[in-house]
Amino acid sequence: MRINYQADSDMLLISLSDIASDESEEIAPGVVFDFSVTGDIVGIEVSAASQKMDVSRLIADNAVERKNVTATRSEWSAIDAAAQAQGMSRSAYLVHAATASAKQPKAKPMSAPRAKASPGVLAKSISGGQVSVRAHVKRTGKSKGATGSDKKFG
Amino acid sequence: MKTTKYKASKHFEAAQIQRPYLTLENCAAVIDSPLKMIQQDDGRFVFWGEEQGTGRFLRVVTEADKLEVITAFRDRRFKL
Repeated sequence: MRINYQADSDMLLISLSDIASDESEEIAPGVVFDFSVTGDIVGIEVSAASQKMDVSRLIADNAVERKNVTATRSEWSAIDAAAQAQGMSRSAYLVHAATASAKQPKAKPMSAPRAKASPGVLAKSISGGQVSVRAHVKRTGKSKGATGSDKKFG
Repeated sequence: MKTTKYKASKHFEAAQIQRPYLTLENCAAVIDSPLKMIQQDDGRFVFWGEEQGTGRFLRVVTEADKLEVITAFRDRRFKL
C-alpha cells in the first residue's frame, strides 16, 4: 500500500494494489474509490483531506519517507530518553520531531529536550520541504532500548 | 489539439500511476468541450465529458484558473 499526500492541493491518494484502476466512483463527497477491471477496490482518493482527517502525521511520514533512521545503541538510548521525557513512544517522538522541523522555514539542528545526550540522529537538514535524518553508525543487533513501538523508516 | 496551456498538478501525476488511462490531453479535451461543468465551494471547477474512443465519461477537477488539473478519473456514475 502506498500513501501519497500533496499538501499544496490537499489531495490524498491511497494505492491499495499495483493493479490499475479501470473506473472510479465517488462514494461520499470528496471520497473516490478506484476499481479494477474485475471490480476490486484498488485505490482511494480523498479531496480536501485536511478537512476530513488529521494529515499532520502524513506530512511527517512523507518528510521522512525512504530515509533510514539508524543510530548507535547510545544514540537510541538518548532518543528513547527524550521520547520518554515527553511521554511519547520512539516512533511518535521521531515523527513529532520531523513535523516540528518541517514547519521551520530554514534548517536548524534539533536537540532532544531533557535528554542526557544529544542524539545526532535527530540532526536534520531541510531542503525543498524534504527532511533528511542523519545518523552516524548503522544500527546493528538488538538494543536494550528497543521497544515494540519501533518504526522502520525506509 | 492545444494542451500546452494546461498544467498537471503533482497529485495528478501521482494519480496517473494508478489510472494509466489518464493523460493531460484527454483531460484537456474534456475541459475544452464539457458535457457538464460546476464550480465547487472551494472555487475548483469540475468538468465531465466523454473520453475519446471509449464511450466512457471523465470527471476532471481543476483549480479555479481552469488550467491546473488537480485530478481526474473515469466516473462510472455519470449519466447523460
